[in-house]
Amino acid sequence: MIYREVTCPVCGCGCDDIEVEVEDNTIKNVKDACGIGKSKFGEIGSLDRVLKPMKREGKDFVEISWGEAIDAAAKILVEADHPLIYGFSENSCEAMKVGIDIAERIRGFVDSQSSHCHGLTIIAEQRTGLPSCTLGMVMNYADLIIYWGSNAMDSHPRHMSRFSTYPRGIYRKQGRRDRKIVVLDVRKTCTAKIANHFIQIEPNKDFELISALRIALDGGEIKQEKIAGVTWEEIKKLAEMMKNCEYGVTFVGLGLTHSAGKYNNIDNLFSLAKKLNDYTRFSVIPMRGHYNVAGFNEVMTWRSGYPFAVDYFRGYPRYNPGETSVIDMLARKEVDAMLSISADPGAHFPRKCVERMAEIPLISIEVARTPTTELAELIIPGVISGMESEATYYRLDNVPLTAKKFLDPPFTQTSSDEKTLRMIYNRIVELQEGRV
Amino acid sequence: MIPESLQGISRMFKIKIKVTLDSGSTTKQGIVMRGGKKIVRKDEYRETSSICLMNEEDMKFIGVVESGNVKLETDVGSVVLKVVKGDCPRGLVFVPKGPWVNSVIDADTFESGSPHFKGMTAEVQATDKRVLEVDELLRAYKPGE
Amino acid sequence: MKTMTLKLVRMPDAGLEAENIRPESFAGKSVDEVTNIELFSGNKTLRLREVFEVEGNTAENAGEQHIILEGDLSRVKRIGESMTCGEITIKGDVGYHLGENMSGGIITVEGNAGSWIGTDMTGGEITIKGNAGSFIGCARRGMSDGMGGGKITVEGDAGSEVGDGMHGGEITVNGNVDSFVGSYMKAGVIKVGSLGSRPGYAMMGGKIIIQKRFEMPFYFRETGKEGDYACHEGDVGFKGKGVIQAKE
Repeated sequence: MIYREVTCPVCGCGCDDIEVEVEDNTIKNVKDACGIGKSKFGEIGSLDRVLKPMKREGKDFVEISWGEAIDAAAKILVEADHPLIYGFSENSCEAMKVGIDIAERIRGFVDSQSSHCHGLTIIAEQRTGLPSCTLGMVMNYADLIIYWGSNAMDSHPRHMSRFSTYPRGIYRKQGRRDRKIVVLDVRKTCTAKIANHFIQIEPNKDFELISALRIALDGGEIKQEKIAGVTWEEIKKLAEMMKNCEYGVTFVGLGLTHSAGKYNNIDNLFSLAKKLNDYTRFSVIPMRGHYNVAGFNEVMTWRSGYPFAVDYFRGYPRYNPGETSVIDMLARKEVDAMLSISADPGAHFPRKCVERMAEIPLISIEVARTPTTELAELIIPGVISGMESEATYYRLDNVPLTAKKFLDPPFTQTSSDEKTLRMIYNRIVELQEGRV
Repeated sequence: MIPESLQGISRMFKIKIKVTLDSGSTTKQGIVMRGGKKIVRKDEYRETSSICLMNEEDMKFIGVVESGNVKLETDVGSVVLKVVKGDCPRGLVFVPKGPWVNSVIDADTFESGSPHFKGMTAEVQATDKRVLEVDELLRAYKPGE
Repeated sequence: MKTMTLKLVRMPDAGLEAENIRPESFAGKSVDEVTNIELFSGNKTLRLREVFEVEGNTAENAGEQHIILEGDLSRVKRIGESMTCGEITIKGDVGYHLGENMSGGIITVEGNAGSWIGTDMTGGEITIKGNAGSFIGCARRGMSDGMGGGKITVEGDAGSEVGDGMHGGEITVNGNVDSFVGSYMKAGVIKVGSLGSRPGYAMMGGKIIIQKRFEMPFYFRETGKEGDYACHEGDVGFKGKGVIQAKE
């Protein structure tokens, strides 16, 4: 059976033009997905796939029933003083809502990958505002594309071919020839190699370059010959390019959020984009790395008024990234139990955080074995959202879309992570009311 | 340009070089990460995520050849990685995200929520030690295992 | 002044939130009532007596209440939050959110203080004898206006982000500040002993004085001298009229 217009649930591009051939509930062929996407479709049959719930006994894991697993998970969360519900970036909005309900119910805190990725971008957005547009607008209108601190070819392989560089748009009928691609980065990435223009920036100096561009835009002058390793002449040229384009877009990546200055770098960039709108039409789009990490910010804001790093310790939502964010809370040992879903903090968190995760009761709801599952007390099989269960997701430009289900999960006890979380939530309510 | 003869000396004296550490995504690392192959297919994971991309001149300076091993050290700790020639400027190394590089990344977010994934100061030197497997790395975290 | 002394005897594993430790919560209460005051650790509520040993007297009016805290309070947050009068002295280190939203009174810390000091402050005085963290006299996340009045003094060094969104009041750091002093500042005065980098981003008004030689960022224009200080105006990119003075 061939399924068309299937969504790839991996990076923020949310490509929904994938063709999948399925036979006997296994994938036979995948068309049009990039290498990473194809790999994700392969996860369905992964040798590391978690098929049954497991509980740690010493060094090993033993299989337990779903009922036992749900009960154990609920007990861990109810008894904690500082429980954390974390992850969701590769999961559905529907599952996120239930995860947030759990955090609120147990008076814990809830966070997602956005907190240590583009959370900084959101902090800047809150302070300065974000002039933006959709990927459709980019494809049809944009003639100047800037990748700043983003290696799209590696992080979002089809980004350039589907949206920014190669496709023919309504006002960009000649595709690549109608567009100028500029890359700003600390090293010559593969994206830089296919750009029209590559500007190498000294590490940790993006902030200064943005401030210099602002002055160049107004025709101002500075005494220095070079800023951030870039000559003043080159800076003026870039400013002119930005000012004179018809529709400019900057795709900003973690190179900017993660280097010195952090959200101030992004704040500076957004502010620059706002100023560019005095001259032309200019937008910024953050390169969200997971297919529904933007969705988490949407759902979290809908439920609490805040986009991520929310604590419900007092029974009402509070937000202070740097304090209530997952990395800080783990590093300060202010988490005493953790549920990780659709995330691999065991692989992606700094040493100090992983050390804490190894000390506390950790529940991992995961599709396949990962460094996180290997550190957990309890492993619960995950359902691949957007393949084995339908999912609402927000693409990296914040457009909400639906990913179809075209397979069944390899177990019958649950049909989606939303349902699994709902089972945990219901058991938590039973336990709490039983105490009264 | 550092002559071949001096590279051997660099290696013998374990010359260290100070660098800026950059970590992030690569397609190859992404393929393993998304494919759910981190544990059973740990060779692929190790091969794609425990590499250190380095400028060719910097490699010669410390006396290491392509596919040789280097020790990357920060204030947090040290890790052994396989070196690969990369389009990095001198004084910058790039390591794909994953448990290898994260074992030396500082958790201090400077009140931002985001740790120092990019821009940390590190030291690199040639080493004869081998790269650890992912389960060996994890065993170091789980006490009493 | 009537003085009540609190000695820390037990620190909960996950830290403590103590916004109820302020003169207004103590004044007019009996010592017994004070020991019943609510403190918070994660999602648990504790009584003050579970954490502190209490000795001393309460005043009738908050303005005459002095609270002295002893011990390592580096993981105790929110002391003096929304304080309007009276005095708090901490004989040791203290945690985050000291004097947040304060409008009057005096807080003195003899050790070091954590981050987010005097957020949204409109009056009163905070003095840190040791070092301080980051975000001193700043705006809350998502807000553009920060400190509007009052005085914060740090005798040691501070981290980053001082006086973000400041529109009144005075901040002094005798030691070093890492980066980002006076971002989006509109009015007020910030004095620092020395500075790492990036002062006055998007600064529109107000004054920053650096007591050491400093290479001004290019987004500030030289305007002349004032005594021993070189004067600069900026942020030029935002047509700001903020002033940064650095000792020659």
